[in-house]
Amino acid sequence: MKKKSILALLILLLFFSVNKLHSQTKQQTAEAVAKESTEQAKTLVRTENDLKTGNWQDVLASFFQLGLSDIAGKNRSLEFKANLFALKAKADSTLLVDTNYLKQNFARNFQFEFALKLDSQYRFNGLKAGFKIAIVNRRDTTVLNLLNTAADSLFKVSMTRLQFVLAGFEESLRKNDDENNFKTEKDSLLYLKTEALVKAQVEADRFNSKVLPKEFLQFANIDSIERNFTRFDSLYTAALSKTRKSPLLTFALNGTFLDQPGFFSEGKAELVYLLGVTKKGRNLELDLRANIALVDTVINTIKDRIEFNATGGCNWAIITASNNVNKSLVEFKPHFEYTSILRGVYPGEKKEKFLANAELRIRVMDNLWIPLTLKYDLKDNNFLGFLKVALNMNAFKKPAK
Amino acid sequence: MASTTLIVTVSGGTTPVSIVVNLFKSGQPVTSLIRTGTFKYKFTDLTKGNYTLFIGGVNPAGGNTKCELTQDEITLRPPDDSPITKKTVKYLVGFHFKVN
Repeated sequence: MKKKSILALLILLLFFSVNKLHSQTKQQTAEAVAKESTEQAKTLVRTENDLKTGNWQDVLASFFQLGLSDIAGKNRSLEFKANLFALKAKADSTLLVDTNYLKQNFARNFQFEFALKLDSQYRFNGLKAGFKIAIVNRRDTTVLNLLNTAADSLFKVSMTRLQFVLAGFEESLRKNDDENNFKTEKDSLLYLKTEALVKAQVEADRFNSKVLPKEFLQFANIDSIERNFTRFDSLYTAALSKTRKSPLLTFALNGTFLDQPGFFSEGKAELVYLLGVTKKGRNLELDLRANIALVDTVINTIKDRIEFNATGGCNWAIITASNNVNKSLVEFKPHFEYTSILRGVYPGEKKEKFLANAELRIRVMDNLWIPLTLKYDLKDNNFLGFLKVALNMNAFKKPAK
Repeated sequence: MASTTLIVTVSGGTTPVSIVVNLFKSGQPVTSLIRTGTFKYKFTDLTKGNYTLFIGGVNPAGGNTKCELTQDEITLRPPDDSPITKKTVKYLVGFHFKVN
């Protein structure tokens, strides 16, 4: 019965993701038909969630994150994380405009967390509430600034030159009289086609002049424009990659309250530090975490138990998307875990534990990860496995109204 | 003589590089602008002729740019439309209009 309920819930989550993907595909197909002339160009819209690793998404949710924890265990919980800025932007979409966006630094780095605690019969038995703030967040690519750099100069030169060449080509197809109309209907269509193809090439991952009409290529040599765009793309991609590897330090505080006498159950403070490193061409992420928890054990002799937990390891994006190396599909995180009971050790319990863990994450859909965690007790030689599902919802795909 | 106002709105972050804007009349540049974010610019004293306005830039990661040209004194040449919202990494928007 329990297994059936879990299976039904997983199917429901997958259904919503597939449904969303299906409607996106239908929309993209309609757009493709309407813009037949631009079909040759490959347009890639990258979202923040595409570019984040699952490890990073869990540390700081982009906008909203819904999660289920310990779904096969006794302490099930339905978690919801919301970025303060995302909530504010839902109410006031003008906050998304760059001039306002920059002023929302605190809100963009502040996150609420709520979780409904459920018992083995899926009945509500408690509430967890807290917040997380990014004390250091140098990996926010939405505010990447390359103004007055070589990338900026290359872009300005190539874009200006391209605009001048297009305007000149248009004029060459027009009559030199007062009306200044196109010489023939064929010339008018040629220009429309050329401009559409040029726009598509600008928007594509890589500018490819070979797909442009020969008349346009004969009118102007655009080799230098193509070269400059390629150089710009390379610099821009490198800058994004560097930003994504920059440090992220977060502090979180939360409390758990149970639906029973005593009310307060647990208070927890946590520090997380992430830093991207590249070793032998592999994109790794140093992941250090430490937390201290105050737990009401409901046992009179061991009230206010204090636990300290620290983990350290590296997250490795093993498989990335073929069309976007920054979008990871499978991640692996081996890490060590140290736990110490500072106060209130249970009878027969070890005061300290040292585990070697491994977490494997698989991206099922754009915003759906399934992580599998294996824990190995180095002293007792025990294997333990945990399954956790997390669904991320990207607010930018449906802008706030 | 006519006038028209261009409103470029960058959303979801800040533009990583400059926004390049050029207004051409019969293939010749009339006004050139370089901007670093959301802006509004009024093109005035537009004399009779064919105009082409290009706006090129780079979107914030995960963001978009909306380009809007007021049409009270000018009429856009089909199939152009305003506003246009671009969500691609790089973009080039073109508006064509005639002043009589």
